[in-house]
Amino acid sequence: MNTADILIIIAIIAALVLAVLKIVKNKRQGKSSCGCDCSKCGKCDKGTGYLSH
Amino acid sequence: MTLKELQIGSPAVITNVGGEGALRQHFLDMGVIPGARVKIIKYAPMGDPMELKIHGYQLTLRLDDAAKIDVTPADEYEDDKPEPSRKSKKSHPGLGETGKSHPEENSKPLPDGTLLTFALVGNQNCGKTTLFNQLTGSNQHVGNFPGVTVDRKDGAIKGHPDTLVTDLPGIYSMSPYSSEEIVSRNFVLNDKPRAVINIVDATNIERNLYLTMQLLEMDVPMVVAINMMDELTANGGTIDINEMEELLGVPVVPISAAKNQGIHELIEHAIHVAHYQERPLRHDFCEENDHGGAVHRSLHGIRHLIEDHAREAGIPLHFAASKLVEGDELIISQLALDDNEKEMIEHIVLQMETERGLDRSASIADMRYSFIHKVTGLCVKKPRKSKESIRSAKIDRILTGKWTAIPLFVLIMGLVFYLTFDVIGGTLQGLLENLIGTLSDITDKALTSGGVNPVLHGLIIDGIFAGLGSVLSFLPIIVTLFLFLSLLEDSGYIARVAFFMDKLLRKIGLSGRSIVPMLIGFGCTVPAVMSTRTLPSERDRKMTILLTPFMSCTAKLPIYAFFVDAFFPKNKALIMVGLYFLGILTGIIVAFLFRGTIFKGEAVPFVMELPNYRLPGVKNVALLLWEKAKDFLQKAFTIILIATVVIWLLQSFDTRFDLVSDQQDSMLAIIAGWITPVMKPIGLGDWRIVTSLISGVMAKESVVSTLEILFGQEVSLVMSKACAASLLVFSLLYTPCVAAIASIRRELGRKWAALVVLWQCTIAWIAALIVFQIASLI
Repeated sequence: MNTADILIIIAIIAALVLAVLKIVKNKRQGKSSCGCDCSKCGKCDKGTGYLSH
Repeated sequence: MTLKELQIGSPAVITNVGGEGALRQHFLDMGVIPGARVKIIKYAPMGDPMELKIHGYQLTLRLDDAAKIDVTPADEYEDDKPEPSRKSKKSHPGLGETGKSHPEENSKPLPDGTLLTFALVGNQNCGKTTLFNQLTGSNQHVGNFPGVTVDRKDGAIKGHPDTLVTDLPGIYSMSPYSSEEIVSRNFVLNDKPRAVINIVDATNIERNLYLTMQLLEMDVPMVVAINMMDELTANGGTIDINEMEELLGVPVVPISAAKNQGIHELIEHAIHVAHYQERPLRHDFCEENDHGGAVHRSLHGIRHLIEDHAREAGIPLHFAASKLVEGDELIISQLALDDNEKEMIEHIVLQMETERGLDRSASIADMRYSFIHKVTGLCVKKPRKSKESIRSAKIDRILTGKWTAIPLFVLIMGLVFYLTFDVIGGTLQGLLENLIGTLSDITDKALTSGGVNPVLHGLIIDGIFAGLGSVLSFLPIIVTLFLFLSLLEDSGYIARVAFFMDKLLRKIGLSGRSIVPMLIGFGCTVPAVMSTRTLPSERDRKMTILLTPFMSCTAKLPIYAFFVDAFFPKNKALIMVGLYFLGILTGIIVAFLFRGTIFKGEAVPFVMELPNYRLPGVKNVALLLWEKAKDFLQKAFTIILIATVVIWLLQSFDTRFDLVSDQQDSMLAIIAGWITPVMKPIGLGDWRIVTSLISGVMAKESVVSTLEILFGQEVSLVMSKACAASLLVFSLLYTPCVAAIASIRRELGRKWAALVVLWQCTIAWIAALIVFQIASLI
């Protein structure tokens, strides 16, 4: 395994970790990751009973 | 005579509003009340519904509903009368302003640093989201269709971090007609915002003030923002703001949200009333001398009777009393009245009905509209006919014309798809593909010259570049389709489509309003499912949600383009359009099936406002496209990147994590092998295809990236045309992605979401089987 291999492995792992973190962050913020119109939708009822109606 | 029998262009006065329940209440709330003047503008191309003018705005109504409304011919429609000019005589009352005096009993200042929460409340399509964007600096999408805001959104006012504005869905009244109205009402009653910013459309002020009356009854600190003042004044109209402020008892601020005019003043007033908790100076709109004071005496009597119950339930007294008279079941149950009290109230209301000569709901609606007419009579000089409405009428002659509406709709949609898949999107996609290909070649050479391990080399070039690259190249097509959908919506055309498609959709058990979620479904199922909240009937909502996934979303485009390019390059456009039509056709068949089984009954009445045509704002459209592109790229570099790497690893290693020489021995082949037998009859028995379809559940674009990794460039050599056709049909119809399933679960619950997955997969399997068998014979 040469230096280039090590650097590539680090880069791939870093990219994957960042991707997972982004998904988790979006989920926590109530955003979806469907690539559509929902990144702005809020996706939560914030306790107003919205969904129960 | 009834409204149904009235001739086009003939003015009439409403004498009686028939019907019952929530729908009748909705008619009354929309201003269809005895005494109101109406004029029929036109009928939809198929003869139903009709478009009529009432209180200066356009409303659509089905003929069956129009038959329940009695009218008598009138000399002229009120808007045709010349308006007298008005000059302000009142000095500025100065409500909600620092430095001005206000009654001490009406002001209870909050401690400094308290979070000031505001609810942004207004009619549908009156510019709430535009104002929200101006107030908070956010970039929410704005549309020209009633009901764009289907979920509440929050944000702090720019430069005021201790504030929080909530943009609520557009509503016409505080009656529980649609779920949005209940949401907005509950938000004001239960979440208790510090103040309400009531946005009122100046060009349609009478109907908009109807909601204002009810907000005033709710006794919440409030500011009225009169929006679109620029449009009103440009057409010769004026509003005496001082007089209106005096009459309503709350600060009134003229604004133009689109042009960012008056926003600063609005913010100052809103913060002032919220901080000092200045409540409206007026909550009572009944006149002592109106028809012998029947409504006045009834409301005042009921208020005394329910005072303790209203206080205990936390419902503003004036609001509770009018809702009791209207017979609002939700409020009646919240007040927890004794049987004796209920009986007394019933007697009071019956007496009022006798004296007033109108039923309870009509009496309250009439009281509110009488007050509104008094206010507008004193302060509003309406424009004789706005440029916008003249322009809209001219455009409508063609776009909703009897013989032109449907051919033009087909032509417009055909043009949208042609431009998207061929001229604009297709060309840009080719350019992007070349760019990605060049980048892949450069990287390939760099990795080879750097002596990188062949496994890592394979992961980057055959895994990440092939998988991710194939998905990224579809960005132009997706953005282009959203561009056109956005232009159609923002211009006001989609509202017209709902109008003239109503009769057709009713044949499959739906209302014209269901066309909107379905058209949005061509973009993405998630917002389409959410937009069904504008439908006031639970039956229509459920049915529309279940049918929306049949409208092919943009995420499936990469799959179609990939297979059509590889197998049917000569009939590219035909097959693409054919797939869309197949989705629609399956939806129609399923709708008929639903209508005869689980969703028996009639579609919700079609009572909808038709907005004027507007030129879509460049900034609004650009922001929407940017959001789409950003979301797509974000998904590509998160979910699809992870999926790409995981699939590459699973197909490169066996269960002992040894590198495999034959992919048949890989972990992926073993996992997919369990499902393969089920897919064999439809020609998709290859474990690689099964794997790609499974990855598509996560995100539809993953199907292509997975196929690229597993097949490389040899898809067309391995699969037959029949298999490709079967896969195209299966991809079109099988389960929506997880995000769409989640949104269905949110709207309908777990059981329905699970049912949608199973149902869609079954239909997809049957359709693919038919296509595969037919294609195999050819």
